[in-house]
Amino acid sequence: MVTIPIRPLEKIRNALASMPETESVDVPFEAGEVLMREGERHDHISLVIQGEIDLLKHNAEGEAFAVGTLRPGQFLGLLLLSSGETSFLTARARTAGRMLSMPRNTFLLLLYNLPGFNQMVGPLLLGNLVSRYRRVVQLHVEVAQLSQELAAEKQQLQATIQQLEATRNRLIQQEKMATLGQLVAGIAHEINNPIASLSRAADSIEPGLQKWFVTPPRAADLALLRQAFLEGLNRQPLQTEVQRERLAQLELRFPDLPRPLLRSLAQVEPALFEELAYYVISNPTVERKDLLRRWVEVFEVGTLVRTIRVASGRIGSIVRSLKGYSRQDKSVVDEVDLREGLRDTLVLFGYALKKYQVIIDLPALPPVRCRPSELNQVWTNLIVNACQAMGESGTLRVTCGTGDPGWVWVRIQDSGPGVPEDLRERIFESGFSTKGTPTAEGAGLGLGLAIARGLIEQHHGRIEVGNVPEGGAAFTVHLPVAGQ
Amino acid sequence: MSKIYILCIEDEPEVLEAVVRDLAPFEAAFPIESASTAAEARRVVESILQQGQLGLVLCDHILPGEDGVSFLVSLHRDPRTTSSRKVLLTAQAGLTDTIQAVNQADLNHYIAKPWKPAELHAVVRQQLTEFVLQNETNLYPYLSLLDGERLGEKIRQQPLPPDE
Repeated sequence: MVTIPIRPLEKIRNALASMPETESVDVPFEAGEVLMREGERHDHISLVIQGEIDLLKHNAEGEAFAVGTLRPGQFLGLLLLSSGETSFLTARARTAGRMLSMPRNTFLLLLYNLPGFNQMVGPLLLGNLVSRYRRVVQLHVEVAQLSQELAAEKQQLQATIQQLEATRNRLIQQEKMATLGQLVAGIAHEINNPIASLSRAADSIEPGLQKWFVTPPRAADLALLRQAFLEGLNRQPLQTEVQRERLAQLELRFPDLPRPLLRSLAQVEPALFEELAYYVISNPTVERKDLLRRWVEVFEVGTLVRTIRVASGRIGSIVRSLKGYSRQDKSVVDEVDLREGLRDTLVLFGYALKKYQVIIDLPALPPVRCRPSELNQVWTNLIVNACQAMGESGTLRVTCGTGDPGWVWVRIQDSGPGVPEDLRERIFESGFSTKGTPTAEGAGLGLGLAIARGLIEQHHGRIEVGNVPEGGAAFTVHLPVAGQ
Repeated sequence: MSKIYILCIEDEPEVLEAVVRDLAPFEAAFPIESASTAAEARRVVESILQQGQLGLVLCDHILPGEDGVSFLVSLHRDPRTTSSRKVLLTAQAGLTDTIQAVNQADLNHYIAKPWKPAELHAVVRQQLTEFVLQNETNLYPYLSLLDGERLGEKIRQQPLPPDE
C-alpha cells in the first residue's frame, strides 16, 4: 500500500492561512448547522480542521440518508471541484468545529500553478479520494450483504405466511366442526323426539289390532267403532292444563273407572263423550260396557295413527331443512330467497332455541345471488352467538327487509348484554372471544363472527353490530340484490 | 295413607302421551299427572302436595323456557320434594349436559329418547320402590306393582304388630 506523506493538519492550515493568495478564511460552525445544501450552488472548498460533518443524500421521496462523515483533514465540496455543478450532497455539522474555506476557482488555480500549494494539498486530496473510494467499495459490499439477508428474510416471511394460512384454515375447519357438532346434537334431539313417538305408537297399536282378530267386533258395532277411529285420527292433542281439569272431573263422576281409561275419555270431544256416557249409563249392560271399552281402544288406535303421521311429518321436515341447509353443491351461485335458509337454520336449531322466545318476522325479499350453504353458515354463527350472549333465557328476533335500493338486510337480535362500543370492531377479529375457554360443546374458538364476516364480504355484503334501546345486540347483514 | 303421585313433564304432546301410556300399569297405585312446561309443573306439584306426595318426577330435558334440569334442581332444594325420585328424559345426543344434570340435581336416573318400554318400566319400578321404602311404612299395597323382593325383605324386618 502506498503511503502518502501528509504533514500534520495544523501545519498545513497555518501555511495555507499565511498565503494571502489562497483567499482562505476560517469558518467556525455549530452542531446541526447546514454547511452545504443539496441542489444548491456551492462555490467554496473547505478543509475540515476540527469537528465532524455528516454528508446526507436525499432520495426522490425527500428522505435523507447518511452517506458518510467528514473528519479533520477531509474536504467539503470535493466533488464539485472539477465540475462546478450544484451540490450533490447536503452537509450538516454533527459537532461544532471549524474549517478553512477557499473559493473554488482560486483553489483550482493554485493547485495547478503554485507548486508549494500542490505539495501541501495534493497528498490530502489523494488521501480524501482514496478514503471515499474505500467507502464506496465498502458500501457495495454492505448492499450485497443486505440484499442477501433481505432475500433470506423474504423467504422466511413467505414460509411464515404459509404456516399462518395453514393454521388459520385449520382453525376455521375446527370452528366449522364445532358448529357442525352443535348442529348434529340439535338434529339428533329434533329427530329423537318424533322417533320416540313413532316407535312407541307402533308398539302401542299392536295390542289393539291383535284384539280385533281374537274377538272381532259385532257387525252392528262397526259404525260406532269406525267413528271412534276417525275421532282419534282427527283429534288435536289437548293442552295439559285442559286435560288435567277434564280428567279430574271425570274421576269425580266415575270414581270406579281406572285412570288410564278416564284419561283416554278425557280426550274425547265433550259432546260426543256425553252421548257415549248416556249410551252406557242409560242401560249399563255388560255388552255396552264392553263396547265403551272397545270404543276407547279404537279411539286410541286412531290417535296413534295420527301420532305416526305427525311424527313422520316432523322427521320429513327436519330432513328437508337439513337438505336445504347443507345444499350439497357448495360452489354453485344461485339466486335465492334468503328466508328459506333462515327458516332451515332455525328449524335445525329448534332445540337450542326452545328456552328463548323466538320472534320471526320475515316479509318477502327480492332474491339474492349467493352460495346458500355459506349464508346458512353465517346465520348459524350469528344465532349461536346470540344464544351464547343470552345464556339461559331471552328473546331472539330474526327480521329482514329492504333498505337502500339494491340491498336487502337480515337482522339477528338478542336480548343479551349487548356489545360495548369499543369492542364492536374487535368482535369480528379471529380469536377474539368473550366466552373464555372453548368447551366440549364447541364454539368459543372466537372465530364464529370472523368467519361470518369473511363469508359476507365474499358476497359483497357487509355486517354491522349495534345495541338496541331495549337491551341486547343486533347484528345486521346487508347483501346486494341479484342483478345489481 | 296419602297418595303417591307420578309427574310427567314433556312439551311434545305425542311424546307425553307415549310416556303416560307406557306408565299406565303403575297408575293402579300411583296416579299420573302431566305438564308441558316447568311453570305448569310447579302448579301441579302444589296441587299434588295438597292431596298427597310426589313420588317420582319424569322430566324432559329441553323444555320451552326453563329447562328440565333447572326445574329438577329447584324440586331438590324444596324440602317437601327433596325425597321425590327424579328422572330426566333426554333426547340430547351429548353426554356432557346430562352428566351435569345428574350431578347438579342429584338425579336418580336418566333415560334416553327413544326409550324401550321395558327399560322405562324397570327404572320407574326401581325408583318408586326406593321412594316407598324411604317414605312408607305400610308396604303391602305396593308388593305386586313394585320390587316385591325388596319390599318383602323390608316387611320381614319390620316389628310385628302387637298382639291384640
